[in-house]
Amino acid sequence: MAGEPTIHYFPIRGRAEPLKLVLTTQGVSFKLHTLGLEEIKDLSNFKFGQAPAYSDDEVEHLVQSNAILRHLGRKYNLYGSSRTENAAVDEAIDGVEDLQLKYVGLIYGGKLADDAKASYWSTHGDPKNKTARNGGAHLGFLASLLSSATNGHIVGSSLTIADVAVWNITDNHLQIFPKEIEGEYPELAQFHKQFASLPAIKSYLNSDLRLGQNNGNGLG
Amino acid sequence: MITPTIFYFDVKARAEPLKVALSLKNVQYDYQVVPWESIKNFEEYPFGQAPRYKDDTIDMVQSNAILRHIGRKYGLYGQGLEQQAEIDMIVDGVDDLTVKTYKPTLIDKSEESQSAYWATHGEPSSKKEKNGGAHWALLDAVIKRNKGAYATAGVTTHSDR
Repeated sequence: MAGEPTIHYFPIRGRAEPLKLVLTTQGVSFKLHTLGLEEIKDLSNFKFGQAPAYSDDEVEHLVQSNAILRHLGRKYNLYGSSRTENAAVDEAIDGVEDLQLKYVGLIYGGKLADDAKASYWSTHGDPKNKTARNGGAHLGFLASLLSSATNGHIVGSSLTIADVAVWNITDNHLQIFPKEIEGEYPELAQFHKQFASLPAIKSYLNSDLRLGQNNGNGLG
Repeated sequence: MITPTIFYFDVKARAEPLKVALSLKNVQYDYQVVPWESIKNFEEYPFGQAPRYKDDTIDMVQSNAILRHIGRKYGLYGQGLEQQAEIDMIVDGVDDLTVKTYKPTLIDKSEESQSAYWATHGEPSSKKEKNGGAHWALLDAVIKRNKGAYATAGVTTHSDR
């Protein structure tokens, strides 16, 4: 069917996962078009030589994972209900992205070596170091977003793409630092658990759509 | 009535696209230079970073989130879902390139560092190599495809730089 929601990506969770979660919460069926590394050099489809890309009845091979996330937010009404809320959603997503970039460094650069993990937790996780230089990338900032949440929602009183973005990055960090997060950020752990128990999400997490490999090098 | 106010350091950097966007729409704004220590106040700077922006409805941080807010408020965000998606894609692509520019312009201004930057992120023949999506040729192609229209202020400023 022309314009059927399709995610074009590698066979990993990576940067497509938040998009799949959003579509799942809305009961939207989507196709997965699996890519190899060579295909993303087709710049007419992959404008920045990167994936994921997304196609639906309104966009064709839209790239930039957060642009796709925002498009889904606008399309399915998951962006807050006023400009003030739109701005708060964007603020949260940008904050998540700052931490995501550091996480990617730990996975592909640090390769989860013991010293890399310790250094990462010290800079981006340890509550004592929240005021130190961290490029705005610290789990403590995300936990603070939850302190003003309503009904378990970071912006407004119903689901937004900000909730999905924060859930996904928390999930990524729980794979590596489960005890530390449960100990220092119980509110993040609780938020993660609550979202994961929504019927549509629970079912998704137990399905084949939830891929076993998170990152390209098999780590994390 | 609050005059829109940008709180930032005494540099162009991440506040510049915001100033350009506001100027495009003749919006009067204040620019308050803040000292480095003030951004550790998490009540006002939730991620310990600047710029911060206040107007009559919001008090927020994250430069691209602010740029998008200004886009929505003053009609610089296109019409319809497709244009908005395209604009978001460009803003994100500009950001990928912006962060790569820090090294040769701020951290290591040596000739070697600057040539390495150009080889990876500027030299047209290298656009299909590994560059994290950060390459001038890619941005150029996207803007040409859109006939130069509706590129947000972030792109204009970055090209000037």
